Amino acid sequence: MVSAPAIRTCSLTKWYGRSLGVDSVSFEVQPGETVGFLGPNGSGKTTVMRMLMGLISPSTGNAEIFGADVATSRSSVRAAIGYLPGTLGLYGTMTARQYFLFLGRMRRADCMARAEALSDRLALDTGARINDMSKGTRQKVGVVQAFMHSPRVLVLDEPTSGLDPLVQHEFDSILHEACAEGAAVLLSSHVLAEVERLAQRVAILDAGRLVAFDDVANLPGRASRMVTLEFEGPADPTHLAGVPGFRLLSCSGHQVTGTVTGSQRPMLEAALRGGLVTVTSPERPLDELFRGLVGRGGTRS
Amino acid sequence: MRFHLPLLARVFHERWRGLAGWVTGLVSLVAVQVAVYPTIRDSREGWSDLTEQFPEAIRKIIRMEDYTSPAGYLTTELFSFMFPLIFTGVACSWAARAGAEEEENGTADILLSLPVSRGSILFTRLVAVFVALAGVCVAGIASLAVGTRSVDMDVGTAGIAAATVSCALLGTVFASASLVAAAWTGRRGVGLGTGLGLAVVLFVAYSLAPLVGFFDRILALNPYQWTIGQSPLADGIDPALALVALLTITVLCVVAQAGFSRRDIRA
Repeated sequence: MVSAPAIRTCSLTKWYGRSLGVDSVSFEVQPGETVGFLGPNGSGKTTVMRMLMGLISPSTGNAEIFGADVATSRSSVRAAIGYLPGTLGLYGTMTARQYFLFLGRMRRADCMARAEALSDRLALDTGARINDMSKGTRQKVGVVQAFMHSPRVLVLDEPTSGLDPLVQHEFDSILHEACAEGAAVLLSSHVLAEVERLAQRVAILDAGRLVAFDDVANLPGRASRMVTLEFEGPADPTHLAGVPGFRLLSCSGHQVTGTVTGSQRPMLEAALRGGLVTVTSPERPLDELFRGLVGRGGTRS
Repeated sequence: MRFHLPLLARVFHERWRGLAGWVTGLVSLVAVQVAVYPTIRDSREGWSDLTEQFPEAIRKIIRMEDYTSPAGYLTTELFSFMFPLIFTGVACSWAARAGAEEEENGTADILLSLPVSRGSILFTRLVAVFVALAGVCVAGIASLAVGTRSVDMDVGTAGIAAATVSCALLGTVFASASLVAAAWTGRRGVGLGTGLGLAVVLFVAYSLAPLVGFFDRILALNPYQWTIGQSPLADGIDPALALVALLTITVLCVVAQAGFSRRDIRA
């Protein structure tokens, strides 16, 4: 017997009055896998996630957790899920420890040891009142509550929002460990690099429609990215002439800007011979990705 | 229906100060009114002359009968208006929060992502409303029992309890209306407005019933008539009418559950 995927959505659709919020979205997340959920603001990522959590009902289609329809199943189906909402609402008068204790008691599960361990890793002071915390610290509380009961499914809506790079790194480790233990993760973001770093597959939503669902390795534009090379002396692009995969875009002062496709090694070796000092590669905007998708036959409505 | 003690404890942890404020107000009111009574009793004839000069319409509207007797005084000063007002205020405020507070504060997303049903969440919040009202009831009965004895008012504790519970029952009817509106809309203001608005409209209809034929014909449908309209201080609670009030509360709570269990929760 083939076991059901950890998360499955079938033609999930949500109408808000006469406007279509989510349009027939279908995808699956298997145990041990992280699927990145990409899309600009308002593309429907949060709506899909809230339908998965049973907070809103689909107009048509359905969402399943281990084969159980979340809209019609008993609430116990949610015992397996850790959820971090995009807009985090916590009980501000409680301390983080009181909040974790409250959630553990509501779940009828003793998860305080793990909550404390996760808090230590994220450098979260659990004795502080939530109302007195900064946005980033509250986000840590949100992350801990999502992971504290060792869920088999994680639904994380922009989990690293507000976290500093050190804490983000620790979050990455916690997420990888959860996946290694078999958890299925759906993680939304509008930062491409984050999804590339954390996910094996990516689902891309635009204007409520799933425009791509593929391995991260197959993301359009992944093979080619922009680089700016800065040299000790005046830039001389002849060093880079004929380097496989490199295409020169501009050259001025000490800087050369171009795109590189495939391995960056030949470009870097050539540039080092020419006196390379620094390499920068700007964050690729999602628009670039969407243009790539449209170019591949995807559509934007 | 599952009940969540941690959620009940959290509600009281957040709201005990507000409840203490209501209780303090109620006990202070009782203290003032009871303390004034000996003055009324000692000048009975003067008060009787004065109240007899009130226009008949006013006397009917405020159901003023024998103002200088202990029962008449307490009915006019506390059980006809102030106690119903306080109980309705507490009940509607707590019920509106029960139906919409988590959603308005943005805490509903995590709470409802737990492996507990929405019905059990609302049920627990409803229990919190009843516990809060029971607390106010006990404070009202105890302060009146002590107060009336300290100034030798000849009123039985059973009568005091019946009149206070009648006021609480009345408040709970309006609280149920608040709960329905809050649970269906996710808005506390709508819930509070619905319960209090209904309380005011029905109070006007109840008060004017002796003077306006239409209001008199529909008096049997008015929750004020089911509860404080039955002279509970003297005659106790009318079981049949109390049952009507309880059934109304039950039906409204079921309607609130139906709305809360099905509708979309705002982010």
